[in-house]
Amino acid sequence: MRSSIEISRPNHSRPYLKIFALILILSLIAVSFKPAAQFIDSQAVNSLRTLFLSIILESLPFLLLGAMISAILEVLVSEDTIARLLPRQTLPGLMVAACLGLLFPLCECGIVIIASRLARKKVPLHLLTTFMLAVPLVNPIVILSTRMAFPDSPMTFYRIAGSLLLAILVGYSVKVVLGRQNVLKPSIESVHSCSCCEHQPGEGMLHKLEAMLVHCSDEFFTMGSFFVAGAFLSSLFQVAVPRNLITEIGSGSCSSIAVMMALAFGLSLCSNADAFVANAFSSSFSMGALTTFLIYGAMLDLKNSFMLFANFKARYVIILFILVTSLVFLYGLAINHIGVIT
Amino acid sequence: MKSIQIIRAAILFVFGYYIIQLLSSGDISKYIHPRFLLGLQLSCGLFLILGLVQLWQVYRTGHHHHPNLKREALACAILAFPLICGIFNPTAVLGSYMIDKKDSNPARTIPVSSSPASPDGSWEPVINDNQFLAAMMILYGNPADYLNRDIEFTAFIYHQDNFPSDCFLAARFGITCCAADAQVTGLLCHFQEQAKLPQDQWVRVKGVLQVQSFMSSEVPIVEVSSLQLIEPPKNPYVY
Repeated sequence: MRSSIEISRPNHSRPYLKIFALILILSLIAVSFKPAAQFIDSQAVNSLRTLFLSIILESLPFLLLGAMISAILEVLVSEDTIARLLPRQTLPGLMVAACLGLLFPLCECGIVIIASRLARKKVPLHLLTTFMLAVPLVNPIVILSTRMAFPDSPMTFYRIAGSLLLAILVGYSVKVVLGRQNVLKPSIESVHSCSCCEHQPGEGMLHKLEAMLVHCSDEFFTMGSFFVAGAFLSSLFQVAVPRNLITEIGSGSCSSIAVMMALAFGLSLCSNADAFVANAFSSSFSMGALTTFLIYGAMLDLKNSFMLFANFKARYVIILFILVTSLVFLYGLAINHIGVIT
Repeated sequence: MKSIQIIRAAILFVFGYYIIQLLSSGDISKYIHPRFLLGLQLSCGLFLILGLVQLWQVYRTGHHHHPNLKREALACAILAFPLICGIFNPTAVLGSYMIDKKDSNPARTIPVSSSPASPDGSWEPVINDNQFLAAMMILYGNPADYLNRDIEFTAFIYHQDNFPSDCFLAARFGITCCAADAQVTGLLCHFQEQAKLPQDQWVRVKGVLQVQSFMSSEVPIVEVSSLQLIEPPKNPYVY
């Protein structure tokens, strides 16, 4: 009966979804079919298609990994187990959450799926927030690639220390502002409140495996569609906005940080690769601006915001955006300040 | 309800098929770095398994309920688009259009290479694709050290107005993860009849290294001795 209640609830996101779907469908028709593509610059369309597909192909394994981990959590790990494992005090809990990436080197493509699943498993919001923000940054692969891109520079330290600090700060602020509220969207909460898995523990391995795979493909379809939309917009950004235009806007200390943050958000690069792109900007931007590029892009970006808004209530996502944006900006200013002194 | 299940299964199978098609034709190298191949192969297997499980669900009525049919259908439609995009179009390679949109100073944008230029550090005049990025790093690091050395490599032509006169950029895209993070690199080439060469034409360049001042830094430049027009290589990017 629960599902019928969900349907009768007024759905606020639907008009946006329809408009967005229409834009997406029109632009994708333009990109997909040759007759339509002739009206537009064919090189632009070809580049757009290549970038779009390359983002998707590169992220698919990580998206599936996220969906798989989420499914395993759903089927095999109970709320009680998670509650027992979590540290009781706030600060140690946040620190543990921030360092989990060292054990699970996941990138940002799959992390929202897992965070949403953990929220359904009643993991406190502040731990979840810190976990979601820190894992794509504080992990061995990202540390290595940043060191490779910036061999003789304190960049790796700035990036990792900064993201630990910021993730914990944001997590703590979320606890202060929102407490233990439920920020999951009702529709997301209901999708998996099925009675197929956790209430039938005695059905053996095969049944559990099947339940897991069904959940995995459910996750793939719900999250994948938002991911595709985000990937399309970020490749559109790359093709439509010339970099030189962006670099010319930002020359001051504040404006360069703002520009690099906007760029990181729009490009939606994988946190494993963004250091090499940042390296290309190193001659024209300050240390603080580059650091914010590396931190902000991995915490929040265009392709992830769709998944965030799909899973969590808008209030939480907006608070998260405001906190992360302002704190990362201040951190960038602080780094620039240190650079001036030394 | 069942129709959604069947459409989902179909999409999962087509994802698997598309990955197999990309892997077998080798076109996958035009999208992502080879180190992601294993992940993609595993994904392909998982897609096929998920598709089978999804089909199996069709026969198990009442097992799984989908509260919002419209949303499910929309999700399927969106996920089908990358497949339509990929399967019904030839794979396109990034070219001069993307350089225009990116930073086009070749000295600034050399991606870090994973392999060294040559095992003993000596200069090899013929630069193959595996060594391309490493060679660029060395050349841009100390251009004066390689004055009057011979060089030979493959690249595509890129013209821009603010290059020195009679010069074009012999460009390559370097890739770290996927084509979305492609960075342009390459060498400026001095060639009298450069204006006759079309943008994006692939060439085999032979020449001698010189040094020239460009955008307030000393950069290597190739005095071209011979230029051969070639077909685009099977793997257009360097890693």
